[in-house]
Amino acid sequence: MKATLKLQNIGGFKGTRQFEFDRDTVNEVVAGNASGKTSIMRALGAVLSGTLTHDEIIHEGINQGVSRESLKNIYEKDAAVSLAYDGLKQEWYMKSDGSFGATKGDQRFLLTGMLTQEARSIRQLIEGNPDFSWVTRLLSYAQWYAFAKAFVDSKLTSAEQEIEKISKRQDTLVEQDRRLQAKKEEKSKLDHERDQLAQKLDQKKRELVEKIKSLEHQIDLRRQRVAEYQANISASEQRIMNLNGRLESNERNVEQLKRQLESIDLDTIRKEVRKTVPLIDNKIGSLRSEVATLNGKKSTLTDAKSVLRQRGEVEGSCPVCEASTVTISFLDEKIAEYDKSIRDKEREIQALAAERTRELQKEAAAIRKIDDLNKMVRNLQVERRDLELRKSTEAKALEETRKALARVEHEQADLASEKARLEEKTEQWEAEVHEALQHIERSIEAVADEIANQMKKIRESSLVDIRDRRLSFSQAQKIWSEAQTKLRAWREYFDQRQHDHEMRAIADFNNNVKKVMAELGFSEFDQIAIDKDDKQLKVFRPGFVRQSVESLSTSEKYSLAIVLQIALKETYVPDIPFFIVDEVMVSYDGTKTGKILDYLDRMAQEKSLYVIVTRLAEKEGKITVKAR
Amino acid sequence: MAKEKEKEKQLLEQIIREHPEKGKLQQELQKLVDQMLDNIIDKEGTQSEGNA
Repeated sequence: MKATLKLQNIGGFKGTRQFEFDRDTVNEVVAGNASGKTSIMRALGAVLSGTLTHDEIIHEGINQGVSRESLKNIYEKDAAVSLAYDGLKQEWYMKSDGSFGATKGDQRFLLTGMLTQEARSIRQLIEGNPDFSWVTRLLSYAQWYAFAKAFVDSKLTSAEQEIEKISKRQDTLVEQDRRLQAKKEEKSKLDHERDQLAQKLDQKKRELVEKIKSLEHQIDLRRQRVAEYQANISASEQRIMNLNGRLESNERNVEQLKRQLESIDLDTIRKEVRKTVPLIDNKIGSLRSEVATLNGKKSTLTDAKSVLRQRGEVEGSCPVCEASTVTISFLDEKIAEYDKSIRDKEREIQALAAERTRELQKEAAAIRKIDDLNKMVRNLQVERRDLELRKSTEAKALEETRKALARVEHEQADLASEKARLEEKTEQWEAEVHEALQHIERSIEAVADEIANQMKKIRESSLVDIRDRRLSFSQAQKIWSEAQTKLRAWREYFDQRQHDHEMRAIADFNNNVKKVMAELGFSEFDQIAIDKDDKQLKVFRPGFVRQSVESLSTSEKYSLAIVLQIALKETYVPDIPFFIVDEVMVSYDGTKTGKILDYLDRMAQEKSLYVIVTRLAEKEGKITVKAR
Repeated sequence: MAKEKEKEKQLLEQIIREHPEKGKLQQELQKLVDQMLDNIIDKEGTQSEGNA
């Protein structure tokens, strides 16, 4: 049975190289220095390990030179390794575009199946580091429990963080709620402030409107009074004009009367009367004499008549005239004639008496007229004084009215000014209050927005998403708490199982170490084992005397390394039929090397392995692979 | 309860046994955790509805 290894651009090889290895035996890769032996070993390690996923093993890969970049030929862009055995084919490749791939391998092979100078066990032993906890951590099945435990731990931490987060969010929620309440109070205050301001504005506006109305009413009253005063003034002026007219008329009348008075010449009238009256008196006297004469004549005739009658005569001599015969009828006629003359004379006397009276009355009339005129003048003067008094009173009243008018007009102007000032003030005040109201409204809007945002935040903050489900804080806390309980139980289980596996793995390893030591006949040590408790490698000399790893000789360290590495391979990757030994044999003396190779040969046969060992050729030449 | 616990241990063991590989194991464990959370959420939901 052969295993075929194909290399393409690996290490110092350019192009394709192929090597074959026999099963159940030790294959020696023989070549001179720097001929590519190590590249073959590393390529085998890489293809058998497959893709490295564990950080610590990736680091180990770098240490052992099986990382991608260290395997590829530095002058080529791509590289590939394939290993065919037992009908299986394992591949490893790195393409020019940087892509990398490998068929499934076992990355633990790097730590167990390769005994090289760079192997971890050798490095640690050379360094004197006894910490072999990585054996259980990286190789045993316990690692999967440890991984699961770490995973659960991470979930526990997450759950703890979620609970803390919820708790913090609860605190934040309380704080947010407090802020919301504060904002609500602020809004309420602002609402109240706005309402009060609006109410105040309304009240103040009503008051101002009332004041303005009152002022308008007062202005109207003043206007009415002004009109009244103006009417009064007009009437007063008219009256004064009338009084002036009447005064002028009075003055004219007085002048006229004075002229009339001046026109009456009482002395002349008196002289005329004194002259005319005696003349009239004389005429009256003459007439009266004539009447007396006539009466005498009449009486004579009447007497003659009476005599005649007494005599019964009808005719006789005239007693009064020279006529010889007169009759009664004649006498009657005569008497009638005398009567008529007497009456005429008396009428004349009466007329003259009347004339005399009139003449006499002319003076009296003139005096009376003068008196009358004087009286009229006096009356007019009285009237004038009265008019002047009335005018003066009227003028005073007019002046008072004008003053009152001026006062009222001033008051009206003051009131109008007050009204204008009040209206302006009202307008200004209204604008200010309106501005203040708008400011408050804006503040209210801002606070309302903040409240809405806060409420939205609270709504959002008060819910927690778990597995795409929105849950309340209490639900989430309960769920995470229950999850923690569950996870702790899992952790406990994984921890227990990890421990069990570790103990078993260490026991198996220690047994295998013991077996290999016996097989190799290493008698310089009584026991080499990993301590179950601290996972430190403990070395005991015969008599169970413990010796520190650090204090071992280099040769002992290499001896120990091969025992440990074989035990590791036996314990942890028994199913991989390859074991690689590179550059280590040089550290042993010939006897030991022989013993080791014999053991490896036996092991290859017993376990049906491909054991591949490098050996430095005595002569330079091509690489050869041959079964030992 | 004890049966349930035993069943759960078997499940955990099965996951480890069947997925000895980091990525896969992580995926399976995550599935298990998700399922566990779903179960608790469902139970809590049912209880809450019951309480309501």
